[in-house]
Amino acid sequence: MVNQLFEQDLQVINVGLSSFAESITQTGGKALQLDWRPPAAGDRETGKKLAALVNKPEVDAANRMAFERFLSAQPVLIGVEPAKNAIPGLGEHMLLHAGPPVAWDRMCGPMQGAVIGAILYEGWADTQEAARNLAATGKITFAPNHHYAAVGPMSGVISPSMPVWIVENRDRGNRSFSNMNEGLGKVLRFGANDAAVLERLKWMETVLGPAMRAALQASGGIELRPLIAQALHMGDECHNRNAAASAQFFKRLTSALLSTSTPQDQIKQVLDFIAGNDHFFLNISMACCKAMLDAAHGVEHSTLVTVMARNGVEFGIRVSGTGDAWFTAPAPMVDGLFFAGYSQADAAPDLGDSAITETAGIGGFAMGAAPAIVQFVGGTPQDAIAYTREMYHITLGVNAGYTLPPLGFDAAPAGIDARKVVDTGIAPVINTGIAHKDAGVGQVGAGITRAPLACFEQAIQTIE
Amino acid sequence: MHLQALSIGESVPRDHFDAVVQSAFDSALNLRLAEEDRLVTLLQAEHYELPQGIRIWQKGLSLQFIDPGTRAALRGGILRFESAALSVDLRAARVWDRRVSHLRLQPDTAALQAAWAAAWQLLNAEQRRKNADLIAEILLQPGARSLLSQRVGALLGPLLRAAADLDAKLAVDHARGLIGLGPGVTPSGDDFLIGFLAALWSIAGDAPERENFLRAFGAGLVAAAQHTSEISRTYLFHAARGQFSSAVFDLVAAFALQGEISSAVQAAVHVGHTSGMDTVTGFLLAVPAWYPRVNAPWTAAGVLI
Amino acid sequence: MITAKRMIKNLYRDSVSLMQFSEKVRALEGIQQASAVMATENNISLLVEARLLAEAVPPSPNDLLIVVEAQDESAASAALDAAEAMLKQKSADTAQGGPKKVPPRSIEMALETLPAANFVLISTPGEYAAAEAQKALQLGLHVMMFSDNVSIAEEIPLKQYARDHNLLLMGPDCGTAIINGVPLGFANVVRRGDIGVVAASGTGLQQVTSLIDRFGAGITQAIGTGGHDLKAEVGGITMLQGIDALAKDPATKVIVLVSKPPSAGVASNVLERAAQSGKPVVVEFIGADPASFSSGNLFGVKTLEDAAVAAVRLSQGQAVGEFTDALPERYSALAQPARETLNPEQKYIRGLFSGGTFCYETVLLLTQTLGKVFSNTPIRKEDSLPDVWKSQEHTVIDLGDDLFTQGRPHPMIDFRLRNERMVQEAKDPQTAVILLDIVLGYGSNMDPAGELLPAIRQAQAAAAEQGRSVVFVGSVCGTDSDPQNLSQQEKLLRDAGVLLTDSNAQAARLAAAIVSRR
Repeated sequence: MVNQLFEQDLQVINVGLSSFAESITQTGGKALQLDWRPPAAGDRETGKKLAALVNKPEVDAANRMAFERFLSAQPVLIGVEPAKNAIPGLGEHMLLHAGPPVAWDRMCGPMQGAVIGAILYEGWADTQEAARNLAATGKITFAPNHHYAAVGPMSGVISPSMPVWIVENRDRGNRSFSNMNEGLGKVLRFGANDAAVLERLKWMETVLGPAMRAALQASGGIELRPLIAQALHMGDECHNRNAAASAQFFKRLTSALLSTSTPQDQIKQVLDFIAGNDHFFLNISMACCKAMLDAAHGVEHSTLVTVMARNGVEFGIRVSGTGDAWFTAPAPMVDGLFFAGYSQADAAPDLGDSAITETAGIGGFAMGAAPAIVQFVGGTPQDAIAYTREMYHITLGVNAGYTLPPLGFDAAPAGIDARKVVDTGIAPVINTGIAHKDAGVGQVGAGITRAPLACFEQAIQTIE
Repeated sequence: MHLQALSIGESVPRDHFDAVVQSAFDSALNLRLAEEDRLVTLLQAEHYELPQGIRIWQKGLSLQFIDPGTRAALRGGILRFESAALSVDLRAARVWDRRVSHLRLQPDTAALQAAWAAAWQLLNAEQRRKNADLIAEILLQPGARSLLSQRVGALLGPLLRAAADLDAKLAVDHARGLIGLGPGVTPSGDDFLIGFLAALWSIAGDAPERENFLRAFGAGLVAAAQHTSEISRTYLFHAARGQFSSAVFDLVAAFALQGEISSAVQAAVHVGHTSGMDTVTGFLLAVPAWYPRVNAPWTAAGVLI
Repeated sequence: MITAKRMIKNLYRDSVSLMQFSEKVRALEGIQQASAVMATENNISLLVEARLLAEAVPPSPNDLLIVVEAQDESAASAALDAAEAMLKQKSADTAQGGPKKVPPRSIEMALETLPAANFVLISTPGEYAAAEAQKALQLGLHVMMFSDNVSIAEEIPLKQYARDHNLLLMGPDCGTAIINGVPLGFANVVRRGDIGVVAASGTGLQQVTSLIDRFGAGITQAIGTGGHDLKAEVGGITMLQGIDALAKDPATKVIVLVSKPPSAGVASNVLERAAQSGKPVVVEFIGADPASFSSGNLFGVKTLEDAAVAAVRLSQGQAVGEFTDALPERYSALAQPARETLNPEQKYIRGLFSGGTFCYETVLLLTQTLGKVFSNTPIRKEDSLPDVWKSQEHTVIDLGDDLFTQGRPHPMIDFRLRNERMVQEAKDPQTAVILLDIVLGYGSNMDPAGELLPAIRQAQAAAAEQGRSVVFVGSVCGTDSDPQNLSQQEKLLRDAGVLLTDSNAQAARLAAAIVSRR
């Protein structure tokens, strides 16, 4: 091969002094200058570990297998059941929450508020005070949703009686779960826990949940990837904008719901509730992403990122080839637009399991398809396209099922490769809502943030 | 790419001209007219008008793909570029011809003075936030911090006095020190003078001696503008005739019609990097020229004549 | 502190980018102040008042004037060059009007843009270089590591990987190479021909290839191995690969090997492989006895010049012939008149070198004829110069030694230190000859003669004050195709009275002849 080089035109990638690229070009060679900086913020050990993984055949083979499982997933929304019946292993006095593990005393304001609300909702305590004490005594078991194949936006709290969506991946049979979206304003996921919130949760348990279960039974389940693909063509990115997907969902469900024995007045309540919430589909979108990514988890040597999630204190990721390990860093603040009357000072750090959408290649990764999102998260439609284009450089491939009209119907980038993130220093982009740092105030803005590189660097240190 | 011009400035020839691309930016392309010493500007903007502007709006388009030196010609109302795939149809464009002199500012009214005070505060805050070289209220203080603001500050008092005395020749002599002074493709001193002229044109009213002063002062500035960049010279050429950008017009209109001052000031100061701030500085400092002694916020702010 | 300016014609950038631009220039190394304004009369007078401009320049209001205040000339000119480049850059993406593309951030990412890339040139800080080289090799790309400060422990597995995958890994610490006619790193623009070179020394490679060009022949490939390749631990992996590749290369007729003498085991492997190449191989193990490794198709030589001469003769189908230590007639004719300008007290040579191998070769040759020669990089320990800042008797200094380059650019780029030292030597009543190397090519100073001449005049003036003159002797390593142009540089130096020879070895011999008393 050395002799082959002598017969080719010299084409040089120049890493370092740019004057060398110039002299190459001036003398008839071809040179491309890298915008190089030391990977892993200059940490040599991680840099060496990373170098060993680049183009490593075992890793590439593992990633091919993991990515193939991800792409072959056929997530179908099959039902709604109370969490205690649906989620295997969910025990008594157990509460699930968003992000990596976090103890009660370290939880952020909105999450503590949601925990108190869930305790009151379950009837484990009668007063706020008693609920708070109960949470602090250790009699409640807290665990991340992700340990139970579940996801939930913002504080993401799921308690045993709450109805959850059940998504089944028809390809590999794995199931995923998510709670149901309560709408905007004073809601549990932002830490609100007053009587109105609890009353709505009760209604969701007794009316919305059973109605959805019946409708899904009548319809035989809803294939989720075609629905998301269609929503992407209608200006959603299915994380922060779900207007089209929610409408599509409504369309598919209505006639099925009418064919059930649900009382007329309840059908009206349910349809009004769904029609009034443009984010109704978000939780389903998340469960769909979770089902696809769980299929790809657990492939030895794979550097595919299968979870990105935040608990309001820490940002955590999981990687296919590193089993149950979480790689965490402090949760970043979100750079965004604030609703009138609020500012960065009111914001909680990044929160929620909803970054599962970016992990699966929609949300921020498909932002180019959702120009209207910039009114909500800031920037210009050009910026949105640029974010999507940037993500192609850190992904294993594309998801041909999701195409993006503003990018000439290019397939969306998918499958974050932790190696590429560390090697390029390009962090995955996440576009997300911003919660008020105090419990119960609700959403105060929306914006764009990046997954902390430190998480990926730790993963690279660990992968074999 | 064939585009429809949405609006054109009143001084743009509408049927026929020959020109060469003088400079190209993302959102503006300057054309040097073959027949006259001034530029016509192709603007890529959603809302922005210039007396010399041809405005188009095509999302995501950068005009930098056309190289300086490219020949351009307007024939039959269609502007075409040699060896560049762009043509612009001017025929259906709305003509933008608003004049600040029709707005008639009255500095002795309480409403205007309140607006002035609000604008003054916004301007200074913005200049401090951007760490600008020229900060309006510091110009008025002795021992200003940078050489540039010392120079501008030293010329300011004499210039205002010459305007107050309607002495055009003396005013030009002082203004000459500002021509081409400071950073930017349109240097700060020129931007300042444009704001200064906008204020005087909008205050002059029907008084013939003021209008005579403005014509003589303007003619002197255009002559002195040989000493600044071609782009800047074009703006001065129009300002001397009482023609300004929509940002300047909207600012004056907000004052005259008691509109929303803060949004007009914000829009005006955000033009360019310091250009807009420098123009607003010139504007606010010229308002007192013919109304020096009223008990007004500018007296409190230290603008002395 | 100095100021410098540059006028850029008819170039417009909007004000926002001009401001950001001034800040960017200010952030460059060695720059205190920077400003970019339209070159109007008022701005010029403002800059003069601010002492950013030494004197008023004629206004040209449509042009952009860039001024910098810098710690020295080289920082200033580097900053102005960088500034001009930044301004003129118009990204292809902006030109298309599409969203901005991300510049490639990793080697793997660069392959998306340049899929046919076959080579990676690495000049990052040494601590990161090995990781980048590993990535490049694993991606199937040949590599040159210009970076130094890479440990042997890191070097060995990289070289083994490269060898096992039939990839070329030149370096670490490989300053120069010429592949397919393209100069890489610090390298000369050398005519193409049929001589292949493998060298462990950067300046050694530059000298041999430049002389081949000067003697009318040309090269196929010039492969640098890096300074550690022939150590016993590494075992000459790259040199062996280089020999094999050139042996197989149909365009290469003659092979030249250049190195300091390798350890015995490595030397015998190298010579064995060279013997098997089936092509004539000129071997220059600088300082080793050529007779000890001449046999069959191997031709040992004593100097870098002899290596070039032998290679050219072989390439032209002639016999290698004999080499002599004697100074050729055309140079000895220069020695006599030069000697007559010296007074009896002026006895010593002071060699000031920018190239390590030039210094090494000079110390070797002078020691043979003159005896003791002091140096900061001596061949014999006992000849170590006690105070590197002060010469004694015959002294030859490598200014590229780490001792001198702390916080300064390499002496091939930055001439200040050598210039000061020249004046210092001229003031010493015992100095007879100041001996220099001048290296051209990409990476080196763009006008070495222009840098040296004022200092030579100053040195002569200092000597003249004390009623003496000193003799300047040197050689220029370069070609007429180099950006600096060899003939032009030589003419400027000759006109200033510098006695020039074609090669470093002859310069050393000429200097020795001048100080050898009748």
